[in-house]
Amino acid sequence: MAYVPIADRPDEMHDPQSFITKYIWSQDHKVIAIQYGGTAIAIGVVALVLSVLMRLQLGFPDTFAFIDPTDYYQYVTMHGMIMVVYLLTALFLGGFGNYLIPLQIGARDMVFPFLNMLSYWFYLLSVIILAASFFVAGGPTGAGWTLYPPQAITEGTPGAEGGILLMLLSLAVFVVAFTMGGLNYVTTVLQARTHGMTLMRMPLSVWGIFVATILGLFAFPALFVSAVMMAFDHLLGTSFFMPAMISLGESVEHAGGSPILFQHLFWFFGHPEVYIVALPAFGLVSDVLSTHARRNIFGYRMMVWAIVAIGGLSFIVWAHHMYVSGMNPYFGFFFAFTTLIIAVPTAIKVYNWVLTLWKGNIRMTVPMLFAMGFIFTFIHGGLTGLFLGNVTVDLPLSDTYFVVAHFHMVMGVSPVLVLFAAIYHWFPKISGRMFDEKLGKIHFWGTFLGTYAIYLPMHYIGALGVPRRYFALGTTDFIPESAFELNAAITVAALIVAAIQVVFFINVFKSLWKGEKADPNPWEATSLEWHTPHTPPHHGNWGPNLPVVYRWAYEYATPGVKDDFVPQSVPPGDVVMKKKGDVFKESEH
Amino acid sequence: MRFLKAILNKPWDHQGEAASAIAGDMMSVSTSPQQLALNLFLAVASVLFALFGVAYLMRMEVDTSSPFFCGAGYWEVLQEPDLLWLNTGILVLTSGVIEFTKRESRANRSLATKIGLSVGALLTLAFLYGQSAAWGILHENGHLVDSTAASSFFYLLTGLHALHLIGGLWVWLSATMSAFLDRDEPNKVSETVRLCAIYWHYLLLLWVGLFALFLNT
Ligand code: HEM
Ligand SMILES: [Cu+2]
Repeated sequence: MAYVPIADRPDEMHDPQSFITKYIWSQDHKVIAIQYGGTAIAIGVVALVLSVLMRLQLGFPDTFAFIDPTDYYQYVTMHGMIMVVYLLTALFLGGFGNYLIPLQIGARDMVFPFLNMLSYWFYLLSVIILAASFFVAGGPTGAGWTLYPPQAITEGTPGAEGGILLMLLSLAVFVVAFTMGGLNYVTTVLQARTHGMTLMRMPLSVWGIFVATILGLFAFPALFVSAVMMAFDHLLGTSFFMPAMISLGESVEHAGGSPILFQHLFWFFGHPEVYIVALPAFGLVSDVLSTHARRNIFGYRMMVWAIVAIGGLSFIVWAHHMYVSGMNPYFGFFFAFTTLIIAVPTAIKVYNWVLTLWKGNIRMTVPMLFAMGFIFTFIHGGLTGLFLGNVTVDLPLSDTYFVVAHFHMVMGVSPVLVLFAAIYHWFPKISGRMFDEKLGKIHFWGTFLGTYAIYLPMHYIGALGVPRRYFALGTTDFIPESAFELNAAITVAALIVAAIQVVFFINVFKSLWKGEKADPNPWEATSLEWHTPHTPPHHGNWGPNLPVVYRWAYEYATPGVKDDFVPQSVPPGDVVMKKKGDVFKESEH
Repeated sequence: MRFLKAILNKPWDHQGEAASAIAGDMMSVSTSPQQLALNLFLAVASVLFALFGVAYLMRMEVDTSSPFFCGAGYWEVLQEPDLLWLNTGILVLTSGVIEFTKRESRANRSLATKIGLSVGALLTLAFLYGQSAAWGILHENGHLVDSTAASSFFYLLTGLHALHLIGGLWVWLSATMSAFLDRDEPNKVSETVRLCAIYWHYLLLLWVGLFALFLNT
């Protein structure tokens, strides 16, 4: 018999009783998931506010006296880093990973619950250290989220004294937190699956989270290495990354360090990081699309293989972020080549999502709207990625707003749309309440159309040559007056998008407070988490007996079967077949 | 390559073998979760040190022909103290003692296990002390952490290696405590010792690799 860490437990379960052990020092994966998610969203709101401040400055220069260039650089940096690492990574893996892995594979919890709890508290610590940098002398670092030396730790850069050190420390703590969580997720997926849950019966959500976690385990060390070495350069005067140079009229005490070495290390982390965010999004969106289209996911095996292939390839494309660093042209050729290859499995996934919708019985629910919105924004951002992956096209576009538009489409907006899809999709299970459909739709249309209003024009501005990370554009010949007007329009759109997010929070709090009680399986979904004995699931998830799995998670509209879905845990004998003479009727909803 | 075989499965095929899989392809029959997590952790640590190694080699190649080169900061070879040979010997011995402890604890010989646990801990501490003494020698000879890139890397990498060992020592000492206090089941102690043995052998290999790198550069 296979090893199941917390197997059938017909006897009374020892549930944590006190408030503290139940909700604070909790080792229950569901509570930890909510802690992770709540913390990530809270710090994400800070990043959102920072982006609004940036947009105010960009749209209406010389209007806001309280934003000076130093502030602007600090906003850019903190916004970028928070969004990528502390919001998206933490919410997808710490949040959804924690919530869904045990529930979707039929386990009672993670394999190492204590380590799981520790992971959250280290993550919280890293967020607190990061937030603290707003309050130290000199403020947070303004080096750009890429933290390139030498300027990141050279006098004159905002936050070059305390801010950068807190950033490096926070990142190192984050890596430790992630590693503890990651060891847990991988071990749990490999060893705690319930009876019958073969690898190829796992929902794609678990696949995406699983492979992304492995990427994270191997990519985050590069961030750790660069953070530690940069902290040495700054604190102890070593010269790992710092070259000899003249700064503010004086030569610095360093010599011989290699800034390019930092870039390699950073992007060896940075590119896989894109997929650490994207793969869970791919997985979650596949499940949402399939469920609300009442269709089995098209090409399940291909989807799994694509996730694995993308994960592997993502480690050999990093230098496409360094085309302008003066690298050997053959090097550039190699990385352009691998970059374009990775487009193949990615495109396969896109085709499969679209084909899943084909002839589906699509229910236009709020999660489905967000999931379909993702297909648009992801195709869009993916196509501009093909441009930037080519060295000759990238050279003039590098460090312009075209790049900003590209990466926001592909790894800003797209994963965020999936997050919203996932939050709306699983909200009834997590909270036991339904959300307000109408507010959800307002939230979707505002966000979806609004982000297009923000980022479409940005491509054009970028093609004009408007550089990114500029506090103000001043007067230049190549930037026409119309670009300034466009910038103002983008800012208005950004303000609207930011404001619309308030609707989301209202919806969440209103529904938690007095939302309609949710059906245990409101979307008529097949995967295990919808078939727990309690909603929200209790500690231990399954009551006395673990579920047994008889099929994959995509049994929708199976020919010959009466219902239009068959849950994974229903024994074959209990599946009701259509009787001869039954009129085929689409299930209505 | 069970993994490859597993992902060739066709889950939608109701007639094929996938349909009959009830206990399925649980990949876990032979390894405990602790063992799997340890293996994963060792892989992560290997990536970490490999990246440091690559950084080390890349940092060695300062381009002295570059117009930006200002005559300083190129690679200067560091003369490592001979004490490191002794430290290496101690670490080899530690690994041996830990292997011995593993066997004794598996055979349920309580006295020998306790001796092994104690000696293993002492030897590990001796190694750590030796490493810090090597730092002291370098320091006295004027090789500070910021003197040359080679000395910076030396302090950084030996420090990180020592931190890993200290982390292991924490687990080792908790197993030692349980053994002496008879707190846990003996086979729990022996399982911890078995995993520690893997970890110590790994750190020995890692140290030999690092030492070779230091000696040759
Ligand atoms: C309402 C949504 C958002 C708005 C209005 C917004 C706006 C901006 C602006 C104005 C910049 C500065 C561009 C520059 O000066 O170069 C920026 C940078 C950036 N944003 Fe966003 N952003 C949003 C959401 C996101 C999300 C969800 C992510 C997650 C990946 C993200 C990631 C980044 C990154 C990585 C940078 C680069 C920071 C740097 O240059 O160091 N943003 N964003
Ligand atoms: Cu990339």
